Amino acid sequence: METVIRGLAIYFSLLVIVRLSGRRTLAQMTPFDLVIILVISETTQQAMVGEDFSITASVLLILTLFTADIALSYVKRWWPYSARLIDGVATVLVVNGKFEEEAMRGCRLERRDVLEAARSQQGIDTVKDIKFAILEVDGNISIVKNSSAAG
Amino acid sequence: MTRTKYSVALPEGVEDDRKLQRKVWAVQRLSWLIFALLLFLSLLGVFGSGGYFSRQTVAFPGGSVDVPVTARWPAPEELKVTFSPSADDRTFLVDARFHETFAIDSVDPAAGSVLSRGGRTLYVFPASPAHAVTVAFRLKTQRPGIRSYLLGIGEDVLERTVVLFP
Repeated sequence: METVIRGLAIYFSLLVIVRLSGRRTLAQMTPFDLVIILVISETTQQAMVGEDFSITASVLLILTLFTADIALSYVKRWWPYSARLIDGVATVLVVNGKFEEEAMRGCRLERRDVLEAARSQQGIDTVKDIKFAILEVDGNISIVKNSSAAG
Repeated sequence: MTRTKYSVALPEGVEDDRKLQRKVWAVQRLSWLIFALLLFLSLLGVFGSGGYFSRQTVAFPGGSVDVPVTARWPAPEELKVTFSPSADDRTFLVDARFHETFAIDSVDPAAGSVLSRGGRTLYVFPASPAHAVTVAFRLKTQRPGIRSYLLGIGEDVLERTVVLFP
């Protein structure tokens, strides 16, 4: 019983903390972000397993995590609004060559983050050539080029 | 293309969710303040494992006992008993509820004898007329929750409560 409770407690705690920390935290992964993820995984592993290193506990824990994930996917399917709360929604960062400053602040993004995505995806070197920059739910920034842009 | 309040139509599949996003951003920023508050409280010892509010010294005529007030389960803890100088043997006692709250891993220095009387466990230490003696009980928390127990030196007994966080 304790294994299942520990697994569920950590799963939902992590879900809430990661969601509340903001999407930027896990999207633009710097080397330091990688360190944070490694530390989180190590910390949560100890909290989930406790002192029980048995194969039974390990299998139960894996089943708990997968079952929780499956259950959550059904909740999101049956109640679409929950999906928007849990996963977030796509955020428009640039419209017709102009930054949406409120969205940039809300997502804790810098202009250089968007311009970097524009350069790497579309070879665009100025925001004026961006029709849309959208921070997707998975954390990537999608760039849609202005039809008037060269190339 | 999706109908929108933006100057142009958004790409298909992208909705104008600014109202929801503003709420989420506000909740996120509020939660960051709560994160900071929790960390501050943790540094003060509210959640155990060290810090000003995590321990308490209980005074008795025959000495004092430094006990955890907040702790975590399962985590090692320590209880320190300081006996005043005395020509007689000194006794530290706990009741059965203490043993349900903590497991005693070791006692340093070891007690001269351990007795069980009236549902209480008595740890008897030899007399030390010249110096105060400190005895460390190395503990392990048994289960989470709010637990009360009795402890005492000699005939003097008090009830204490410890909050054990999961």
